[in-house]
Amino acid sequence: MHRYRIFFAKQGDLKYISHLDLQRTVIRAMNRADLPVAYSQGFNPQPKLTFAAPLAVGIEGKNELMELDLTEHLPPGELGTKLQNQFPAGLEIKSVEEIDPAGPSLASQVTGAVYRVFLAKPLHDLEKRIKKLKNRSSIVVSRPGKKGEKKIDLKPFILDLSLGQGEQGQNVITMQLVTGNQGGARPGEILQQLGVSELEPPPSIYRTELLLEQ
Amino acid sequence: MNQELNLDELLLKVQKPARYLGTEVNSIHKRSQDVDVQLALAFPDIYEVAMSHLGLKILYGAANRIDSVQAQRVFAPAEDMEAVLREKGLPLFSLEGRRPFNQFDLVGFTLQYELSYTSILNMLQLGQVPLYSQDRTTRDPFILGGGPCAFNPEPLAPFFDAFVIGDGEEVLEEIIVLYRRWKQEGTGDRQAFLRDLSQLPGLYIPSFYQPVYSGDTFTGLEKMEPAAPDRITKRTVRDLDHTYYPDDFIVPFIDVVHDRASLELFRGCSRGCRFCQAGMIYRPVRERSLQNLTCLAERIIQNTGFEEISLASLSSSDYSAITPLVQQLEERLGKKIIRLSLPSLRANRFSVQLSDRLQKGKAAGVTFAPEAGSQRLRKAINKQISEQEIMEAAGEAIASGRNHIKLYFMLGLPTEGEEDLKEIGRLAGEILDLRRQGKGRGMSFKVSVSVSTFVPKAHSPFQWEPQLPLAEVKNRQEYLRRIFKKIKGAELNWHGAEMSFLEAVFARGDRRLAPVLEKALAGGARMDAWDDRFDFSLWMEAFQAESLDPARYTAFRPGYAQPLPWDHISPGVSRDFLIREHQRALQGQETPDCRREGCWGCGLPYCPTRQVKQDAPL
Repeated sequence: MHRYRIFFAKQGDLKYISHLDLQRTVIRAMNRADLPVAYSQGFNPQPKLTFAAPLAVGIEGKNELMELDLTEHLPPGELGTKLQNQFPAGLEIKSVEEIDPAGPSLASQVTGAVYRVFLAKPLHDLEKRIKKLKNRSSIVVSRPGKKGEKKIDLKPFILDLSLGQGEQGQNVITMQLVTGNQGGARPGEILQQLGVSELEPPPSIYRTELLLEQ
Repeated sequence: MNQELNLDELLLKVQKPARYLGTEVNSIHKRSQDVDVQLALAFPDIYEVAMSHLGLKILYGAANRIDSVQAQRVFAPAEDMEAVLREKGLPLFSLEGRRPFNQFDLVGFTLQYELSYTSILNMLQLGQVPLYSQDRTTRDPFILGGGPCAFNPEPLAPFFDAFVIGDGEEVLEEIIVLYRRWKQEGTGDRQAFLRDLSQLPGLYIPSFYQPVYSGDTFTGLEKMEPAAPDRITKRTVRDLDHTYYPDDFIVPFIDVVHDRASLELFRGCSRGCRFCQAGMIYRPVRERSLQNLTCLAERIIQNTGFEEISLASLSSSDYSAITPLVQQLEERLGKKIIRLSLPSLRANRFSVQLSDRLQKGKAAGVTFAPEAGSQRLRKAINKQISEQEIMEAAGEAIASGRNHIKLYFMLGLPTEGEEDLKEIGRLAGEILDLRRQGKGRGMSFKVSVSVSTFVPKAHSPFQWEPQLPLAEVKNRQEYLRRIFKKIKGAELNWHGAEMSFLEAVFARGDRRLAPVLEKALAGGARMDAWDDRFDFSLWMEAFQAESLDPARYTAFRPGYAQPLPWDHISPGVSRDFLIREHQRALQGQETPDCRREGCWGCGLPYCPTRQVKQDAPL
């Protein structure tokens, strides 16, 4: 069995499809490309395709990560080309490399992610708002859970939060958040705490990097 | 003039924004400067439903194959998107080019079910096109409608410029040729185009005819345009093997109701169930060849990447070479994990075995549609399955490990009595007993019975029968509920009586219902087929406002000689045949499947499998 690690971008119109939609889209692209995909055993065999971390609808991912197992060897370049040919516009492969199938699961390696949020119109007191948020001892939010609402403190999940400037002088908020199997903060929640989630036009959110344990 | 909408602002405000993208794999995008006919294919429901419908997919591919024509999809927006569009004063737009609805040349709606009518009107309104055909000008698209409800389109008549009756593949091209010629002539005279259309076989131009009433009774249709035909005969594509069929279906991003490819094995059905309009209007039966289907299946899988193909037809296990077909498909597609599925199963052992083979032991349930509980009533409606066959089928399903058997029945069928309802309960009980006799595997087993209300349909042998009054429907539903309370392991579901009532009003309705549709729309009616959007009181207000009693349409029991509002549309089978079948129903006599036992003279002008049955009473 051969395992491949694929970095890709999910952008443009494709930011509107959900994680499950993405899974479905990639599987069908693999089917069309006639790739020798490995399937799991058992009653309902599933293709051995995993994603590092789901991306919320509306957020563009610039360096997303998935892993794929094939039953036959394919040079990474050829795998990349075959897949890219079947991908819809908005899904772009950045790199493909072959890795050790005996390694740890992809999802378990993800510790966090970097998000960049571009505001459409400048906010004069954004710097102050960010400072205020960082100075809070706890940031408790409510999340709807399967058994009712859960209270989560976002503070430990914010690794970094800073303000910068985009090419056209726009306000750009960069945040490094914990995300993964052990829980985490969602960019939308941080933006809500900063009071910028309801702006018109809405800010553009990008996940620029996934942080992996290595 | 091509105006594209900037959707980004809208999409972040709604659920499942991917519904509105239009950039799925295999979607077709052309540059507007390369196109001289812009066609919108409109389905009056949301994306998940619209993308499960085969008809539009066939027309999409057929139209887009013509170089200078572009066909784009337009579907009904979900509730939240509609609110956003209205709030921002934006028009309904197409998927592929995000083109405003009113900037198309031609719009083709598919009329699949009566409860979609208000959604159609809503789309016209959202699309900023005048509701009434007579109010449209050169700037507006021509609004056409096709599909099963076009066989009695009268309640929609004032809103449509033309209806297309029957198979669409060939006539679509003819319409486009005529349109192009009209556009080039440049007069902008809409009536001239409609006159041209009226000369095409299968085209019905409602404004060329005026219904006549004597008091409350429909007495006939008066022709206002001398060149228009007296009767419109449906289009029948003869050779399905040499007619376009898509092998590159659009692959939805999101989960849709039928998330798979469809292979149409054959069109039409010869079983002759008397309640069934489809069985009459889609005749004659025309099959695709084994070779063609196998090749299509391979290309479809290659081009789409779908993991499942549905073998689609009105009665798929009746395909003349079904076993060899399944064998060949398994061989050719076997390397990939492709699931084959059947949309419905005939209640006999053969079909269950076929389904078992296709499902490879993974399906938990099986569905049969006996439609009537007693043998007597099944004979009357010509649903030719015996109790023995049903029990054998159930036994086969149980033995192969299925733990759920679902049965479909109808309530209010002509000649139905209490005894027939009791039999529904007895049948469910017998199947449960079969399971208890230890033939099954696994722990749980359930029989669920789903009962819908009979709706008399135009062009079926039961078009002369009334629907059971609403109050009586509820009585009988209650009766069944009491019976099923005592049957352990069986579950009863029923379809809303009010929805079926409304269906029945429009199924055999006339043009006087059009203002009711408009009123209902104004009152907020739309997506009426959805339980959570349907509002019966709203409809009753609309009927009242127009001083029409809807029960007159459902209780309508005309004599054979009485003119019917849909007489001007010919379904192919003769009126005499329908009368004969109706009478045989009342006498409890079955009529065999003509493909198995010889021709019964249904009157079709063209039928590839006709063999004259010498001694058939004609």
